[in-house]
Amino acid sequence: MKPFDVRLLRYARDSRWFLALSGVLGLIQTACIIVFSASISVLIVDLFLHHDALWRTGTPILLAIGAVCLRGASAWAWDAASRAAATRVKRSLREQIAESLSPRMLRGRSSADMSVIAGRGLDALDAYFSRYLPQLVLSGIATPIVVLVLWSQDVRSGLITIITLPLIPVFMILVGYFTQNVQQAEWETLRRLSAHFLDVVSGLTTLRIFGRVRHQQRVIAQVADRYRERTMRVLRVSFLSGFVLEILSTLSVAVVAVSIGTRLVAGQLDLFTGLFVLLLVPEAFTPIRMVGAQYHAAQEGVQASTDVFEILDARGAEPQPAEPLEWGSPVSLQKVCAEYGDVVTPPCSLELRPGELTALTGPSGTGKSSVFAVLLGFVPGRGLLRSGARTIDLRSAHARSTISWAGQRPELGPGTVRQNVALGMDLSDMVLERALRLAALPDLPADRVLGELGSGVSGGQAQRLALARAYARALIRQTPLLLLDEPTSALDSETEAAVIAGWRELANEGFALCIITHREEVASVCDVRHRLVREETAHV
Amino acid sequence: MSESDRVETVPDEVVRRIERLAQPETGRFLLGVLLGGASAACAVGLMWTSAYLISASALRPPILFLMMVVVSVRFFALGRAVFRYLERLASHDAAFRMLGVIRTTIFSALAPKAPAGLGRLRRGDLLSRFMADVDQLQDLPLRVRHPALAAGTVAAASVLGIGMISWRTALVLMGFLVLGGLCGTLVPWTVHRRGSGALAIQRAAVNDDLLDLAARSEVLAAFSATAPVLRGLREDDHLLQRTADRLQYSASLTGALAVVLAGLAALACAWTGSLDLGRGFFDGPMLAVLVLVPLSVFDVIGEAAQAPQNRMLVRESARRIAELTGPVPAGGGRIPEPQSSAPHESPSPPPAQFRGMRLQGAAVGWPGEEPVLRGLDLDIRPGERLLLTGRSGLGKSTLALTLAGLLPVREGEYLLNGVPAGSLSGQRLRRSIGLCEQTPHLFDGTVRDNLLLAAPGTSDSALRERLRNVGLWSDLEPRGGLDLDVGENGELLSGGQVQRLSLARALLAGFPVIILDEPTANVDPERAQALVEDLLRIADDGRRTVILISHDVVRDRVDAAIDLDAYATASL
Repeated sequence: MKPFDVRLLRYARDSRWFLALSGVLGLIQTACIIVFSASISVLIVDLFLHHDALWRTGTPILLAIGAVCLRGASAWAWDAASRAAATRVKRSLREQIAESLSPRMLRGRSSADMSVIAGRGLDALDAYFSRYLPQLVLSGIATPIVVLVLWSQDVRSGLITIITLPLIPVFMILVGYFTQNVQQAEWETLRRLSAHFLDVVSGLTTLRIFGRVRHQQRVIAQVADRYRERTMRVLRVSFLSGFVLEILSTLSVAVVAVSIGTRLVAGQLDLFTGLFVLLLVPEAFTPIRMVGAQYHAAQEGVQASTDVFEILDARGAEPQPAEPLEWGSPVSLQKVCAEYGDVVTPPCSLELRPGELTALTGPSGTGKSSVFAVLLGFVPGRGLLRSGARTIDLRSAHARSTISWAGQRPELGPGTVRQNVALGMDLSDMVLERALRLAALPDLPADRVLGELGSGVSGGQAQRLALARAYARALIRQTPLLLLDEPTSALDSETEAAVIAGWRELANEGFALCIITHREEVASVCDVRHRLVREETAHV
Repeated sequence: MSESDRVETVPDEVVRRIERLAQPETGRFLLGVLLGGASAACAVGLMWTSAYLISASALRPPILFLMMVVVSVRFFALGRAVFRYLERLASHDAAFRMLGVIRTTIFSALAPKAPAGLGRLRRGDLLSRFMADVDQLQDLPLRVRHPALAAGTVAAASVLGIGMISWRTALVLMGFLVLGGLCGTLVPWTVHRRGSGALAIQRAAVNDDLLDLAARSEVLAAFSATAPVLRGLREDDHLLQRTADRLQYSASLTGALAVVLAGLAALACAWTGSLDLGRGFFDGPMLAVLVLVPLSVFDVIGEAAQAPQNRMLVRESARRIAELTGPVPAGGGRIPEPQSSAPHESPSPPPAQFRGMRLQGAAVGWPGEEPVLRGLDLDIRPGERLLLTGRSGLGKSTLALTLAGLLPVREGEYLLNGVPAGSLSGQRLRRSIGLCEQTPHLFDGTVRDNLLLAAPGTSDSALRERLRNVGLWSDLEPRGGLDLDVGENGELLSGGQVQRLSLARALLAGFPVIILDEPTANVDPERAQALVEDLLRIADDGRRTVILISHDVVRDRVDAAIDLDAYATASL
């Protein structure tokens, strides 16, 4: 893994100013360190060799106090600037990811996985932007300056430092090369652990029914243990690199100290230079050592960001929203089919007229729901949607603004019944009551709180709530089409009749309804029946 | 918004128990502390000896005397790096081991709560607790206790060492160290009090929003409701960043204060040192030691500066985990070693004997809510086929969950084989009674994975046979058969296919009693009739008892039919 990732800097355009600022602050810090070290050294020499009293030393002590305070302040500001940079980058990337989460790009991907990448994965970028990158900048500024000062004071110490310093980046590149694969494996295990956990928690009831809880417990322990092993494998390498960095820096301090000592004894060097150099040598290594210390954390972020970029780069090919079709005129579907890679569902052509109920039937798996999905732009497909003079080409556009839809799965969210029905709209009490009544749910309290995935209502109630949600949208937005997918599959015949009465009422108001159903009772009350079969379409 | 999502407040004792789970075994922990302390001591020793070496050299003593100091300089230099490396290896492995234990503890604690207790937890929050909060707990040994103990030891040792040269300087140094410690504790404490304690909660809120966007993308897109959720995410993320920034602000402040304190301590030590030097308390070269050692002591202490802040974050995460698990046994979720009769080795335990089940004056309902059905009397004999009907929302599925032992009977009696069901272990009860839920869960994996869940070790040909029984094989065969991936929650299959796959799964398990909740919803009518006949035929083969909840079935195919409307507590 490279110390830099160009894409990160490209996506992090607005963080550049912060990096520049942190460079300037780093410069101030370095100057403070040099001034402080020099004044402390002067101070010791004066006190020790010249036996001055402290108050008579004057300038160095004031300089030292000033330098240390300024250093503290700039260190604080430096930290804050780095942090602000990290914050900006992370939020902008998270927003971009969130905006790209369309039904089309999510198909076949685990939603848990996506949320892990955009949540925790991006959090890992914190370390990269707030600690690793600024340290890298700092080491580019502080280290050369300190080395120059060392060189000007004592050539031999300067030389020792210059010889050992380049070993550090060389070694880090080697380490990076070897850790890349293990790092990848660690991140993937983490994603698996997250997705697996959510999956088994959603299916806990099923697991209990089949008596597989204990077994699943063991699986989780295994995955968690594999995660630990993978993490440790990464850490072992990264600790080793930290070890080498530390050895290199402390040993050079020791070598410099011993060499100064011997030359002091020989009278080739004065005490001030000796102390000054001793204090400065570690400062030449500190930023680079910190880079090494942050390396693992930063790489986790870089690894996660690779997935982020993969998602961002895979964007595009999203259908464009089409203007809503005109209210009150018939809408015709022409050869609408979904394209799942090579598999194409049978084309569906039919006309939906205002005031009519159209039943879409056919054996399970022939692509009835896919027709709706293409109209809504959830899956790639082709065909035309026509009304009067307007035509929507479904290859490049979707007709969401023309449609109110209730899918096979209610997909209710946490919140009250009212919030679920309103979903993204302002809802008056009147419309809410009407939508619930039309969906045969007149007595469901609007403030009943639903849990995650719509728990708190029965399967049949959830289905009707999804209907009420679609009705509310149709009534408020006046969408010409109402597409309902298996709307009564979980209902008893009495309730079903009430729901059908609701459709009739909506149709009489001028909506065109299309209902996918397997139930004869439903199909028989519809005005038009359209049967979708595997090879060709046929009217019954 | 997520503050109200807190499940319930848990007593501190439970939180502490979770924290104890995060604490590695004493031996491993002490080893880490020892090695960390040694490394820190070497850092101080390195500064001590090299400062002494240089200032002593200025007096040009005999070279032999200096050799000893030179050797110790090198020893400390090596020791610092070596000890640190060993410390990190030992402590991290020990800490990570505990995380696995906590994760299984969480899962074991959640399992018995399904399906009743999970409703109010949001999935993003749950995931956040399982991953991020558990990970946070590793900081307890690694970033709280280790550095604090190591720093404390080294600080005390340095003060003692300096005290042997000049007690006045030692007092000054101690004063600055105490001041540093106070700052390190007070700064994060004040910041924490201003609401940064919400970090984990806000992190969970962001997770929730992301998961909501991903999991309900179709509904959100179809209802043009993506924008408000995105806006919510932006707001939650903004809050999260503000909190994180505030924490960082306190961390930077502590760090900057440590830098300033270190410099001032060195100067103050120079002052007291020069006073004592004037009185002839020690040799001149020691002065450099007195001035420079405080600098390196503060360097070492700096690593512990974040410990108090980390402590607060750990406490919060432990609390959130405790909210999930409730009181846990001392051993946590350590999994008992599989015995020879472990379920995955002898996959299908001999089917339990079924001699009949009976409800007497029973009421069913979700815990914490009013019962939905009351006064139920049912008598079901082996081999019987019973049809339950009733209006939607009446409580048919609730009854099914109760019969399967997943919800307790609210009133009256439920006898299985003449024994009160409450006295049987849940596992024993469910070995007799199987349930195919109305909205069954398929796990992200292949068709085979999902089937084997019910009957591990079944041969492929038997699996194919079952799929044929439910009329699914012809659909699956061209798409990869048993190896077909069903996707998250079965999203790659159609609604009817999901239903039939779950039926096949329930039939495979070989329960003597099987409850089928709306088995033919989402299935086309021609197939629905055939499917019911097949189901009953398969059940007949095994002389199974079938309880059918359906509105599609003609009553003459069953032995008895009960309309549940008569038992409803509320008129819907």
